[in-house]
Amino acid sequence: MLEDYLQSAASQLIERASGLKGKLPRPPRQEFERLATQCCDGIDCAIRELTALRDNAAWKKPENAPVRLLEFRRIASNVDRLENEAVAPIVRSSKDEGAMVKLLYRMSNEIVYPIELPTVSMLSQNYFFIRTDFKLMCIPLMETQFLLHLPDVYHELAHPLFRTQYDPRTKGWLEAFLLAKALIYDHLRKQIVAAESSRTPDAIMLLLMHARENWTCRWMEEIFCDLFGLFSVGPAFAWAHLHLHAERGRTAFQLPQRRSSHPADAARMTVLLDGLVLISENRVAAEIESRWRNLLAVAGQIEPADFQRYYPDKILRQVVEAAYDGYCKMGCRPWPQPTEDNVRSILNDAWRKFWNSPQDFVAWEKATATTMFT
Amino acid sequence: MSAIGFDSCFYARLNEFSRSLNHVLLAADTPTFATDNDWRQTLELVQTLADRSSASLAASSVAASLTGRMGEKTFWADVANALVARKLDSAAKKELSALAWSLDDERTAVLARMRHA
Repeated sequence: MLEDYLQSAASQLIERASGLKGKLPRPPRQEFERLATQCCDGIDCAIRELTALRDNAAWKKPENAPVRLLEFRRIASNVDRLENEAVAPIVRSSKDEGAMVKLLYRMSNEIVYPIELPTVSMLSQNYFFIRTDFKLMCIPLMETQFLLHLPDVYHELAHPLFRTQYDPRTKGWLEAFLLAKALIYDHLRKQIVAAESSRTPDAIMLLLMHARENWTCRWMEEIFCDLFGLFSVGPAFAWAHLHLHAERGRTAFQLPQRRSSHPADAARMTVLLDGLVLISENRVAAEIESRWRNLLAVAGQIEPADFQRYYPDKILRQVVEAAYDGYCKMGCRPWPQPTEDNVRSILNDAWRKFWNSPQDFVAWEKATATTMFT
Repeated sequence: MSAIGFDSCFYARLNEFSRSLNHVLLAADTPTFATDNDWRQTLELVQTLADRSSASLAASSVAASLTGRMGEKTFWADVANALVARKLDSAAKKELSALAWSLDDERTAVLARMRHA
């Protein structure tokens, strides 16, 4: 059965993969050059693998049928991703990508971003995110007309730093990251040992285990990305976090769950406020904290008694210091050092205007965004 | 700021380990199918499953994702020895085959997570 199935299915998938190349724009668009090249390489690889799978005598041996099916599924999945996540954003792009790329270059120059920039797609259906394997940053369609969420671009710029290897440009940052992970891991290990030797309820033990896994697998990277954003653009990043939580955040004091992707929003805000103090933005830190507390009170959110067990303030402060050290060691230019450009100043002006001149804000933002993206 | 960033990286890791493991399984009969890198990567994953410690972030994160599926099995050390010798007996092949299907299942789950994040 499998032989008959794969003869046709592999041939069809080869045709489909090859057809993807025909969908790429002609003449090529400069802003997609790297991604289009990566797509073509990926397509070539998939076609080579599919051809071998279909035609090679070793694959056709009956005893290899299970692994042959597994390999077909793996390659089909890769072609599927190339089509939907890489080629489609290129084919459906508009002039907005070009405008965002220009802004990204200005942002990166201003902070002395240490590595190559990702490609941009304005077709995100899920806020800002970055596909690190395709190095593709996805941004919602309308963001070129607004300013308040743009600080989150800096957070996304930090994710590719963790995918670098053997790269002196990011060495200091990754060393700081490992140090921070070791700090939290050690704290949680001690908590778990203490819990094991006492009458700690199983439920808390489970939360500790989740916290340890999440901090080491995912959370510390997210916290470091937040801090990269904060050190890059200053208070505007913390305001954007408040804004994001107000609009679409979940429980601010969410306790650890299995395979959670992000730490609790309240812990993230704690880190950001510590970071603002570290860069001597005490006044605005106090202002943000006051509004944050008001927001939590309005939503009736209260810190659970054992929240600190999973998000210890003392360790988080050390994490902030480590991240700042790593940021500076990469040669990045932290807020509020003066720069030749004014992107990060504009993003901070936007938040000042938002709070101080609500009547004028929308018109001001529209005009400013138009100028900035032109 | 979604989980997609991490998952897309994780998908790439799963893809690499899956490809190598599939090639190693095939190389039991046709040695030329697996490269040194395929053997090395598969061994790295199995050793991580065996003792839960790895210098590689990729292997440790993939092994952690399989914990629920693969359980705390003691035979991974034997499988690791078979991989070092590059001689897979039927028991080792059976366990590696189960591992290959688990990687496939996890990859499918990651894809679903990325699409519904």
